[in-house]
Amino acid sequence: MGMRKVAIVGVGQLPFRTRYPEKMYTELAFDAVKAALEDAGLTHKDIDSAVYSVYCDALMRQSTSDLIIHDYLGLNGKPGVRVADGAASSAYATRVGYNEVASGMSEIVLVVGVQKSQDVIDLQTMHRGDAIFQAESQTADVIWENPFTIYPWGLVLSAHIAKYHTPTEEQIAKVAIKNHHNAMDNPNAQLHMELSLEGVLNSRIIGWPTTMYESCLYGESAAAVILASEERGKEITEKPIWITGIGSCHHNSTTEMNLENAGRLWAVYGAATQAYKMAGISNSIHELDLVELNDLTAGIEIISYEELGLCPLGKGGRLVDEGTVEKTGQLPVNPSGGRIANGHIAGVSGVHSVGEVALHLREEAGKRQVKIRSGRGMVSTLGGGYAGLSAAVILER
Amino acid sequence: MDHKEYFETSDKFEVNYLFSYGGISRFFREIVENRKIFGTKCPKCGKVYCPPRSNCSNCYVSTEWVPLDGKGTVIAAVYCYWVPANWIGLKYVDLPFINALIRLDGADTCLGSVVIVEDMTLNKKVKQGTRVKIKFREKREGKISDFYFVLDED
Repeated sequence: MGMRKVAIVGVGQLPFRTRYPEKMYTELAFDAVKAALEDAGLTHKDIDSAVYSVYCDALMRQSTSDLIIHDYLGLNGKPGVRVADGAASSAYATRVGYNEVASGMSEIVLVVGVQKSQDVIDLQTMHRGDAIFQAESQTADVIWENPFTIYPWGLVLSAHIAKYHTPTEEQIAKVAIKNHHNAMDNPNAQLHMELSLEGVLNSRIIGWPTTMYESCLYGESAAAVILASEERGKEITEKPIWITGIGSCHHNSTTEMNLENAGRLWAVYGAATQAYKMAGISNSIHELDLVELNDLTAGIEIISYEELGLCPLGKGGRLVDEGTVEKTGQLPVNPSGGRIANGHIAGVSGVHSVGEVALHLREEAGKRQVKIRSGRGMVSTLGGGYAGLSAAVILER
Repeated sequence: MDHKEYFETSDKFEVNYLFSYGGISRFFREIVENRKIFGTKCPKCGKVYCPPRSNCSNCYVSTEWVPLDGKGTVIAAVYCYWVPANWIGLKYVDLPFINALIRLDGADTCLGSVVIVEDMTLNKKVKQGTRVKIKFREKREGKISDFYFVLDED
């Protein structure tokens, strides 16, 4: 391709929390960036360019927040750009940062995602969660999805089940149990809670078949990675982690659905296919050591196995039943706990996951460390109205 | 910082819209004035869009309005049990409600709406393949909530 190699040389993650009332978004971004720079042994003066992932302005109570963050980080005068693509934002941002280094335009690029979500409040219920939904309501298509298509990924899941008769309610619950169990070893996780099959199936139902414990959390956080060219990367660290594949795909998953090909997450498929091609991966289940993906719901995780080519279409449930995707299995998926137990916030989850996979490949993931055999890991993200946004990243050591 | 140490204050952000539907205005005018549902058809490839588009995304030419009979097939259905407290949809439906992707007869794309049925037994009356037909609400304001679907038992 004529592009340069790109390394991840610094990782900074903050825990996912329901709320960080003691921090404004500038302060959260600062904490994540400072941690990433310290990890890399660099200072902010070494940064050539910054890519910001900040998702929803209404939640942030600020548009064009990237300028304010850039100034706060002491980067005035340097290039900055903002990426906002739903829950997949920061993986898209990683792709933008990657291109800056790969093209030779920059040597060291900061990718940082930050999001506040709990500064909003519903004055009738005095609950913040209700207000979050409202603040984010323009994510979906305001003419054609709002108000009734409140769970666009639920439509994909329901269509998938109608066509393939999987995943079953039990398989979906097992994914929730797996991810909650994995999160117990993750100090960054928002929720540390073991679940039982009964507990998951009997928890409040949101949209069939998804129950409360099978739905992603939502909160606040920030995360950052430092990208560097091969030359600088090798100077900076003994453990550069290379980005060898990257893909992004906008694909409306619902408007074109028909009975013949119902229940597909086209964006996830598209982004993964591009990333695999670039990384030279043809049999992902044998060539990856871990995957961190956006389990917006546990059922969506199972469909994602299929879209990522870990198994044929309609066979995702079997990977759950056979334990393949458990932390001790052939290909651990979401050893961090994923979106439903580690945490989720659009704007941050993608770059948090990129850093997470990098830590595993460095074998610095602490108690949640998975076995590294092939030295490759993958991040897959999903978001947006129409379940239509996805970016994927493949990392290699 | 201890949680008692941070200082909170309030603010409000309120915006009212009086927005235009531009090139697809006819879709909503026909619903409000004539209780009719239309799609748009590409004169080149023949693809019919509903929801309508004034341009064909494949051929990059202008589309033409075509009337649809309002009957269709459910492609996907979600039985929704939980919504946020202030959800605007509660003006139009009770919980649980069925959100469905419907492919109208004559159209090549899917429209999201609700299907209202007596028997709400899960996946019984409304599921993939169910035939439905459109119904218009008494009060229509030019929004997707102006109509809903019921079983087409003819």
